Amino acid sequence: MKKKHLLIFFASSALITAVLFKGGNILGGGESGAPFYDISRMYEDSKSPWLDGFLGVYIPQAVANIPFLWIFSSLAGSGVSGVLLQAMFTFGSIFISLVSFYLFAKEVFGGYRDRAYLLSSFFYLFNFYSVMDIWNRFLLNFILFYSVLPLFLWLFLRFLRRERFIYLGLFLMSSFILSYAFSSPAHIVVLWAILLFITILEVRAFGQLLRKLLMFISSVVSWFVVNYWWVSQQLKFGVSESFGIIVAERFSGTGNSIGLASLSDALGKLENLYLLKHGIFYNETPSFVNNWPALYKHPILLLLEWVVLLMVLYWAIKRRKKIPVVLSLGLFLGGIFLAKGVASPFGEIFNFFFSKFTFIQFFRNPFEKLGIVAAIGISLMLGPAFLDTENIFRTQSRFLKRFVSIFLIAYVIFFLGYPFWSGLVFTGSRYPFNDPSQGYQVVVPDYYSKADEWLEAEAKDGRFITFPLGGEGIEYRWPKGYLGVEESQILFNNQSISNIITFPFYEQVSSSVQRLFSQHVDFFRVASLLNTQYILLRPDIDFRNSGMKDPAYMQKILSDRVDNVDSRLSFAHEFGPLKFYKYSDDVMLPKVYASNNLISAANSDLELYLMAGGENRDVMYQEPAPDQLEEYTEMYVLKNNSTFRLGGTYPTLTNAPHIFPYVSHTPSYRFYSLVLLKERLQRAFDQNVESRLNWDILILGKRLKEAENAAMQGDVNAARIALDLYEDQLLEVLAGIHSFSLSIKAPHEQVWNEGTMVVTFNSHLFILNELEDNDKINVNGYVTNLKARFLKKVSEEKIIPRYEPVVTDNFPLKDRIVYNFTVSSPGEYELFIPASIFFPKDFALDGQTWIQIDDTLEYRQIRVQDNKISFGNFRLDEGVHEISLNLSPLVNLVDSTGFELNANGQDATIILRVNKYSPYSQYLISFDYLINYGEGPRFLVSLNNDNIVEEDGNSVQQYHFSENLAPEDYFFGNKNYSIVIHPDLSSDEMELILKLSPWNNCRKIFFRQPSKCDNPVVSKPFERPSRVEITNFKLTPEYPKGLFALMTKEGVDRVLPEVNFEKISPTYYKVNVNEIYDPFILVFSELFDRGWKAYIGGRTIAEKNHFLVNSYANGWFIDGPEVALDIELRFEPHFALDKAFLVSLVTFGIVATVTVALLFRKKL
Amino acid sequence: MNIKLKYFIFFLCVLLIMLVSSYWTWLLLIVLTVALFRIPSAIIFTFALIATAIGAVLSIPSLNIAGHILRVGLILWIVGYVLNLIELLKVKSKNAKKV
Repeated sequence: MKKKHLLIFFASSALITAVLFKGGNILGGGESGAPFYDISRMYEDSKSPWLDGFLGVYIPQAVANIPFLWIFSSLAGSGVSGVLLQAMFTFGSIFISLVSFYLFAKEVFGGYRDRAYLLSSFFYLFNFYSVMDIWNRFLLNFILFYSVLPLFLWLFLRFLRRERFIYLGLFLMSSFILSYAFSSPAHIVVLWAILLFITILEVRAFGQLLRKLLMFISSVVSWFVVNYWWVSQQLKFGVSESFGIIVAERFSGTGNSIGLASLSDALGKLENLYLLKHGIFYNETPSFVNNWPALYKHPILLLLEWVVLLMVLYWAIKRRKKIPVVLSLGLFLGGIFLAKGVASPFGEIFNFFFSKFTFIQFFRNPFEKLGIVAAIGISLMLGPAFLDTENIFRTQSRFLKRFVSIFLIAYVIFFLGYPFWSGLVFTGSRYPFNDPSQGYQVVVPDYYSKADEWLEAEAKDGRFITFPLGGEGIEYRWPKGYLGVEESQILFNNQSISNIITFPFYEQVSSSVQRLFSQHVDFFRVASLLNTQYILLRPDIDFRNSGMKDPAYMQKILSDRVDNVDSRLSFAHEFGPLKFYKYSDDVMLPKVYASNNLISAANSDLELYLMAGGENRDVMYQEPAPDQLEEYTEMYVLKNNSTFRLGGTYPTLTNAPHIFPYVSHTPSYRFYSLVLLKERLQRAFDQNVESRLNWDILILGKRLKEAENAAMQGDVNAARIALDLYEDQLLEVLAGIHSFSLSIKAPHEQVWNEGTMVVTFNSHLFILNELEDNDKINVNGYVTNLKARFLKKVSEEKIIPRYEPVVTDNFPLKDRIVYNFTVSSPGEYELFIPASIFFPKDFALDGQTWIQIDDTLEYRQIRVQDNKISFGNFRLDEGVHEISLNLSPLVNLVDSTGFELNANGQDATIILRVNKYSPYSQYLISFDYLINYGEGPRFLVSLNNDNIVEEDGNSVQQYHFSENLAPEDYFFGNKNYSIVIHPDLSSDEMELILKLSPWNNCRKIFFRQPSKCDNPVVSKPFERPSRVEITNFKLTPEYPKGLFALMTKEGVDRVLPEVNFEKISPTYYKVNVNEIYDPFILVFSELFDRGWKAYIGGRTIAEKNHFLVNSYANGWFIDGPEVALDIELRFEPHFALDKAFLVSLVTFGIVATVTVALLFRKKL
Repeated sequence: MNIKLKYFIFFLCVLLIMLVSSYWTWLLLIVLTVALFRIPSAIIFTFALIATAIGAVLSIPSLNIAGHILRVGLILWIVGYVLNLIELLKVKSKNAKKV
């Protein structure tokens, strides 16, 4: 490489870095957060697969960052500031990207003037894919991978061509140091797939095939050994129980397939892919600074982009027999074909591999992960293509040649490079990213470091909970703003529950603590289980945009709790707006302790612990657990699996074509098998998983309709065949519904598409009841048995209840609420519902009431005690049970029930304040409305945390719910409207709004030019008043969703041993247990993982005695003759890492020694 | 093969495309055309370029048909690329035999 080119690259990298960091602040936000705020903490966190954050969590891929973060952490340790480090990283990434692509392009093509490779490398940096998916996205590992990929390709190609170890050595050394680039599995696949393609094309003669393939395989093997420390962690994690839990609970092929289909639809359009453009970013996202991505869709500039691409492709056709072109064109076309995902054409191929091989489902966003392949292909060709095009003009006119030359350079450097030179690449479409004075800049206020220091001094290994608590994202109101992932893990050294992330067990805990804290004064009982003595209040957030509770509301609750001695909470300290509260020492448990009082819970919901009345050192567990625990269990507590509301008539038939399609033939038809074949073929042609399931549900209804038709014709045999087929298909359909429920059901739904499912299976039950009444069909209880199996299966999917309602004069079917629950330990259970602000006061629940338990009726006394409404004790066997009762709401939560809306000259608005509100309840809203004249009303539900967005310079509230009740063409009478509202759980206030606008037909008159009516002068003359009467307005709370069952057994007094422990490191604890007289449970309050092992005298405690306790922690059942024990708790994957790292380090050392020796020999 | 038979098969394929609107049918048609008429990769590539150019122009005013034309273009690019590889392999094996 010429020095002047190196200088150009250096100067360009320096200039771009200077522009990006001109504010003098670190950059952050989005998915990457602000790692350079404290890179040393990032390094500390990456040193072990066990992250000492949250409640502790197993993150195996983190260890791939060790060498890279060690370098930056060392620099930070020697006093280099975070912003300088980040600038160095950015400069390095840009520089490496430019230089290595230059070398790679030169190696691939050769023979061209160096200017060609210069252009190629700048295009590689500035192309549309790089701008959006790499730099604007701002994920450090993606930036690093994009930058160093050409380096790896160049070194490997040199190794293949020159067959010298020195290049492989450099390749392996780079992969060791830059292993951070491979922390995404997709990157590993992309690298080796491209290298394999290069290897195949490098085979010049058939005899070379084996040799080249051996070189490829040896590279793979040596890369594996050099990177063994982190690859082995990922492989082990892949077969671990932790991963199994993630797959079982979180990973859904259906969800991924739906995600893939939707992303392919949005980003797989060829008109964008050919230009390497992110379809949404460049075409649909508004509100950028100067709306800069829209610049590139201006028709003239779009034409220019296409002309350049077509020119390159034309050039490629002309040189199609040259291997470098075959390689580059192959990468470009292959990249486009893969990046479009399941979009046409031939998306079926991608879909086939995606659905059959679940381990490749990290390609769920194919453009993001595979677009890089196309970017490399086109970048390689661009420089040579430009130079050859330039040469065509050389013979014709010097001016033309000069013009073309300048134009092509200007196109790449200035036109495509504009977002870099202007710094716009680090701005976004949302505030604060779209504020030019802020962009991605982050300034963390000083009070955070002070708070961190204080907390660490106060409680070195103590945990805290942060309120308000929300999801993964947050918007801080810091001096430069911040919008991105929640940052407590980098702001604080202590573990905390500060966001809700989908780590197994942590998610269940984090998603419930805010609700439990708000509802229970005695939350200290949960806090002690979680080992969280401190609560942090953070008012420095934008709660609306963060989807969190109003900090003022949380402040009020905290103040109330401090005033209430029963809460055991006191104010501790404040730093700027941050306030710390502390639970008293006497209610807190240590991180490691012993217990022998057990509560058996049906699931890992912490609320069960509170409902069971768990006290200090009571340990909650659920199956699977050691058999011996039964003896120590004093309480059994469970919550309902599902609830159903039945009213009026049940079951009801909805004879709609989407439930029961038209049936022309019954199974006695001669060609019935062809009918079934046609159905199968029609299904096979449908690629969309959701419409396929809807098809299956439709066909299921068709089977039932066939059975009904056959029964009406007296064709018993045909009806039986149809019913047999129905039962077979029912299982498949329910499996499909189950899979969809796991992945895409709405948060308030029990089952995917709940409304439709309830109506559909209600109708199925109706027909099954009809068939049951048909004596010819229901011989020997054939239909009765089928119906029982139907109810069992369908109720398991939470669609309809298992038992049909018993209806008497005293117990009519009105607001009948059914609670379905499962008992695993038979016995005498007390059934109760916790009191709430609505229950039981606002429901028609008398002292005595009829209750249906399974299929029998009982008349029961209701008792209100200890904040719960008890229905008494019931003897329950093992299995599924249902309890149902009529729960009609009595209260109307709004004062006004009738009013008029008159919109004359301006909008008319009525705001109804909700008198009593809890976000944890649902609400039924109903009213009648009569449109006298003009427009219909617009019904809005406003919550205090509704998002506010900027539209055309105005702040616009995005209402929680909005519906336009427009007038119909035919019916003009009084109409009823009703809806169930499921509030956002982070809201604290609700208002109902009815709006009416004046009638105006301006747009109808000027339908060819409706924009004319935007001018009030034009539209005003067309305006007429509107008038609507609203009557019977009612807002009632929905029935309580949770029913609990509690069984208490007489306890036996046992002596608890004395436990002392020492934390050696986050992955190693030494525990000393004395005065052991009875078996006990050793509780270790770190996130449950099978990687944690307990050793006594060097021997591990059997894994069958290691189980989940307190919803998230590790418990070991210890039953031995010793009076004193020394126990070691070790996180085994961490210790395996030490050995694996040694293997990698030794290999790296050998490779480095040989490579350096070869380099020196070459010089000498 | 008899030239009439070739045209007949070709006609059948066109008819099939009209009946079943699927890109697999387009692929079938293109592959059959290439096989029957021994069309070289250069021609296929040229058609691919033309289709891409037309699709590009129509995509500027966001016409829906642009997407379809670009898709057919991509099929042509893929077929052309594979054909080009086959041609390269043939040349390579001929050279190997000569040696």
